[in-house]
Amino acid sequence: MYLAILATFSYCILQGMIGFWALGSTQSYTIEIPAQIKVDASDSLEMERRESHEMEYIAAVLAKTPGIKSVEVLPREESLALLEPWLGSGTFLKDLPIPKLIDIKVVSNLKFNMAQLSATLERINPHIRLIDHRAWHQSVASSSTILETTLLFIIGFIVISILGTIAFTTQTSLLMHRSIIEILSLIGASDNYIAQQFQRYALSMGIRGSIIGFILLVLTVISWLWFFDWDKGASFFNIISPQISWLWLLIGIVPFIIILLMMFSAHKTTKSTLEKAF
Amino acid sequence: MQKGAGQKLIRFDNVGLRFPGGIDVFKNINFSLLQGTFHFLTGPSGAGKSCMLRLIHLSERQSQGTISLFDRDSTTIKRWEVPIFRTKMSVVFQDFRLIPHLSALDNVALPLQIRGVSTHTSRKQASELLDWVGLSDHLDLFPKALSGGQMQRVAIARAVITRPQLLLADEPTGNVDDQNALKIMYLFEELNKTGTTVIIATHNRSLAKEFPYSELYLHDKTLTVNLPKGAKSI
Repeated sequence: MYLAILATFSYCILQGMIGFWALGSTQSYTIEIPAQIKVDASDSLEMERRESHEMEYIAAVLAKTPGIKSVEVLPREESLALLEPWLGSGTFLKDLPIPKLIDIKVVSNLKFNMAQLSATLERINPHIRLIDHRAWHQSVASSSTILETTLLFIIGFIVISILGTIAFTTQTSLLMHRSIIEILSLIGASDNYIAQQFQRYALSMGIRGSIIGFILLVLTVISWLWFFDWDKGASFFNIISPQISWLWLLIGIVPFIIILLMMFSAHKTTKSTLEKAF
Repeated sequence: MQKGAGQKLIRFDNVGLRFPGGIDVFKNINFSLLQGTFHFLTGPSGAGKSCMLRLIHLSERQSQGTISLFDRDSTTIKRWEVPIFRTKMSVVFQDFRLIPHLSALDNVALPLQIRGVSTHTSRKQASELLDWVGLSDHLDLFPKALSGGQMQRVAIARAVITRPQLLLADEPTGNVDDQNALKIMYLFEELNKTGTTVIIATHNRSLAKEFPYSELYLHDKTLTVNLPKGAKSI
């Protein structure tokens, strides 16, 4: 039951991440303006003037482009922060010629003409790139589909294993307690009555398993957060939670469905075994 | 007169039972029993008394003839209907057949619980019955802590708690002394007075002769009916 709950939880997290990525990437574009390399100190002023002029021109173009909701020039500090995980936080970073990044949010992809904007930008500077995040999102989405399918397969496999175990233990229990089953039958117990006893047992096992499964899940999540970073983990949950508000219900629904299936399996197995063996 | 008294409860027409391998237990047995009557089924060990009770209790099928139970041909009773018929009758087994992990009280309460009576009510009635059979101090004991005679009385209490229309008892006095045997017989007589048809299988013919009831004597694969003094029919 723990594995089923954990797999469902992972599925929810994955859905949340996909939702978050989709929200951020399908309606967002980035303009990358390559950095100009200084040959000597005297170039500095001229380059800054040229860059500033270029930025003003791009801002004017973006203001006239239909379908754009917002434009945000990424400060150099933020661009540097993006490189820190790979290059470290040494002082040499400050002198690195890094491209300028402009983040564009569009109202909708239908109203926004990417090709036209790309051509306009190319006329300003042939090295400017307009990056469409949808392609990246598509590749992430196709990878996550594989993950989703795998998780669903794992959940299905766990459910089938649980049902198989229930059927097997019920059969074994019936044969082990054959004499008691015979007594029950002789004093007037119907197959349904006997099946209900096994069904009740499956219910109590399912409830116990679910409670233990939830406790273990909470412990697992706490240990993950403790192992990685508590604050980042908490903000991660805050970010993905809105994407999967209703999906959290699955963590409650899946064990409930499994318990129902366990009861059904116990009932059916009891009745068919009684019909064959008694 | 009890409700339903005088109606035919059991009818055997040319009934025979043959074990696999061709050995006849009995054959061409004919008799019918009315509701509310009391009978002894006697005969030497191995004569087929238990087998006859098993036929009546639908635990076995006859090899020939017709058995009519509660106005129904037993061969037409489907598997799912068997529990319905069994709720109308009770059996006291020779080997008691108590459930080992249940206390005396819960063993007796079980048939009522199977019939949907609440745990509280069934345990209350079971407690009263165990008091009736002289086991009020043994309610919470498990079968392994009871003597043969005590288990016998628990088995009897379990059999009568549902006030069955038909009570079958297989050697119910086999494990008790003469004094307790008589006490048990008086319990059955009490039950019979409430309208239950009672059939007691015993190899002890002298016990049967102490009571004014008909005797179905099984011997040499046939059945002889011995009526009590003054009686004209079974």
